[in-house]
Amino acid sequence: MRNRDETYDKGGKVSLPRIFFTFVKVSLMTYTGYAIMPIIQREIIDKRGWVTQEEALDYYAIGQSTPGIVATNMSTFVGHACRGTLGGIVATLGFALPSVITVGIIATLIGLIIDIEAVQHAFAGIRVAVIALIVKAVIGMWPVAIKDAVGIIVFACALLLSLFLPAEPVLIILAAAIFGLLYQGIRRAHANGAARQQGGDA
Amino acid sequence: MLLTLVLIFLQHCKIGLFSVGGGYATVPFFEDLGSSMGWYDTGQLADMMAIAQSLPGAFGVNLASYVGYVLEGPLGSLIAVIGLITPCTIIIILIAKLLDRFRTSKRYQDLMYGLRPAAVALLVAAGLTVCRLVLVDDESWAALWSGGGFVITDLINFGPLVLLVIVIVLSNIGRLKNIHPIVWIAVCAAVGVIFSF
Repeated sequence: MRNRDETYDKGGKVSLPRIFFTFVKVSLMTYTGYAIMPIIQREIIDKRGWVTQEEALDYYAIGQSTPGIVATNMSTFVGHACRGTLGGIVATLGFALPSVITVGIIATLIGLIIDIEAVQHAFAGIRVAVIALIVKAVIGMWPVAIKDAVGIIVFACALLLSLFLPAEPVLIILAAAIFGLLYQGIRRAHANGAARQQGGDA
Repeated sequence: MLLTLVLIFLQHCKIGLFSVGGGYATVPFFEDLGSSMGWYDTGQLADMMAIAQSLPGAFGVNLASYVGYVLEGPLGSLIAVIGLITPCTIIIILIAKLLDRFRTSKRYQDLMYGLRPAAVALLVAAGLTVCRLVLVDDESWAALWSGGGFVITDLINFGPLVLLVIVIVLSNIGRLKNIHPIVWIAVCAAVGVIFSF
């Protein structure tokens, strides 16, 4: 079991201020909640190795089905993975506090900025980047998340459900989790049963 | 003023507790908040949402920050955000501690076997939603569904589409794979301005 109070990376023991400022950085680069995943992949997994791809994926999945916003939940999870409870709190604050400052600045300038056409065009461009970044994130997650044909089926069903039914993400996650439990449980029971039979014949 | 701050904090705690998933889940709650407390109306909320979407960071946090700001300035902003994140931070930390214990158990692995592909699917769905926003021309789309006339080449925004294909290809090959996401964001923003997306 990982010791939650000590995580080390190339720079030594990961300190609370380091966690805080890393998440400030992550927050400033995240332009839409779901796009936090590619940023986490880059800053947390690749650059610092604080969590693995698998752990990050699990946090993302769980963060979707619990109260709160996915992005802040992910920050809490990663922060906790580094330095336990304090790490979780500090990471979440690091992610959320920049909003206070940016909103303060923008709220005063708002009339000036939002109507400038160039800004609208820039945001249209940024959305394109967001799609590409999501593609990158999915490519990174795929081998960790989907290991066999059944995984592909679950993926396809979940995708269809979320696109064509206004199904709540929480319901989809719950259904998938239950499916996993039942499917693997039944598979194991069969395997055990077959093994017992063979043992009986021997 | 103190009373308002306390109210801001508690109301945002409530929103933070009940909205599950993405920041957009907070919108109905903010709508309720505005009308029940008389703090702002739906039109104002829509404006705040536009700003919240355009700022870096999570949409829900930005929106809470803005609502707090409108009421009590920077301090209101701070209190609102802290209110929003407090319940879920506590919950997640508790879950994370449990997670450590169960991570190696068979049941957890079984659960994740189903859950992980679904999580990827949700991310893909989010991407597709943004795709529709960016690549499909709204007027033609509306015309398509209302049985009106439209020109098929008008339906798709080719500029963004071309940029998207180029960026997807480039960001996944060779040394370009390691370019920081922020670079792609800045480049695409610049292209958007140059080509008036």
